[in-house]
Amino acid sequence: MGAKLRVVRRRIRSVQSTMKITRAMELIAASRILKAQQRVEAARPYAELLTRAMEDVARQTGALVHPLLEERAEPARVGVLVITSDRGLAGSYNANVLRLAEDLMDSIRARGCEPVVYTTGKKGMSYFRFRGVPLAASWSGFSEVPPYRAAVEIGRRLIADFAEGRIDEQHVVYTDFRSAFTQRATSKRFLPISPTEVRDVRPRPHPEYLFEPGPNEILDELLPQYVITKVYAALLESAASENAARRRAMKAATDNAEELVKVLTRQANRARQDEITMEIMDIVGGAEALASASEG
Amino acid sequence: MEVHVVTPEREVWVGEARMVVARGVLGELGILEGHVPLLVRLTIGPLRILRDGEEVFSVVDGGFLHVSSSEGTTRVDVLAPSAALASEIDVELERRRIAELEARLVDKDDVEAQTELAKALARVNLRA
Repeated sequence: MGAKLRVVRRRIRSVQSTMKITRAMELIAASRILKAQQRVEAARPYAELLTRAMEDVARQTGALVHPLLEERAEPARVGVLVITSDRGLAGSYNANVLRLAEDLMDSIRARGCEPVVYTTGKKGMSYFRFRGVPLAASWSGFSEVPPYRAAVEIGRRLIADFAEGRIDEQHVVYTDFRSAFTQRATSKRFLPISPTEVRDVRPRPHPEYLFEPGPNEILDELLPQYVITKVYAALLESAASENAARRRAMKAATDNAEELVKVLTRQANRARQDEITMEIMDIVGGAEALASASEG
Repeated sequence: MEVHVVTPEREVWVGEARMVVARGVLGELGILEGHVPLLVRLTIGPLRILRDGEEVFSVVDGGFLHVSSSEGTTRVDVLAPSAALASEIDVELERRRIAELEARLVDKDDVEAQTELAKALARVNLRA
């Protein structure tokens, strides 16, 4: 077998084995999108009932008063939690989140405040480390299937930093999963909890309403829980989006590999045909030489 | 009376009931149709849902019980950080956890281990 043919065949084999990997990753990502979506759905009832309970407290007490609801008069340090993935091979998923995070940090600086960065996911962590941006905290190792306890840990840290005055606001940059085809990097303010979320309720106190313990103690637990629930939702939305982006990237890679195998197969066939032609020409040439030699 | 038992991760139980019995921070509570509106913090412990001729046993790891009413129907929401129906509890697994946690608590005071122990005990007691 000629050298050219051997090289082309080797490339075909290598492309085919890459294709097997990308196809497997595509299928895994597809099944994880579904799981993440189911978990987003499963988390919704709790969030709704929690909001209902907070509205009830607002109705009874007239207006909610709590440190987590207080706007700071002159915010100096603004926290930004950036939710990225642990692994690459997800198209522009991380680039989109990081670009939006940079925009947000620019606008925070434009307001005269100092951004304080928190990240989840290895990609975000290495992005900011490489640029010499100090990280207040970073978490990783769960971006594809975020467990609830990760949300608890992150949420508690953000609340503690806010409550103890290390930051005056907390924003979260994550990817909203609209559908399997559309995911959008989104930023939202989580702290202080904005009035439109819970406080816009007409006070209608019920004379016999019972709180055990008092309404303030209850708020002390409800509000942090509310923030944790929102962090959990953002992690789940991002996980669904990450897997959707990875599925799309891997599908494109598989399709390209298929195309490449077609082209290479054509090249291999051409090379093989060239070899055969060459051999025939050799034989014909040799036979003719023999014939003319025996005639002479 | 409509009852919802939910955790941040899932809906544990939803349905109609006659009475709900839970353990609040200030003592045991029984909720019947027409109860005044209420918002109570729960402790780790059993939650019983009584239906007609049937009783649903479950355990909640703290959280809240919220009673509200709209248009004459009472509604009970139980929001727990985690919860399990009796049928979902693996007694053997919980027993092993109890042994482990008790070993951890022998020589030092660990608040987290104590909470975990209370959860495991509540689960085993429910099935006892």
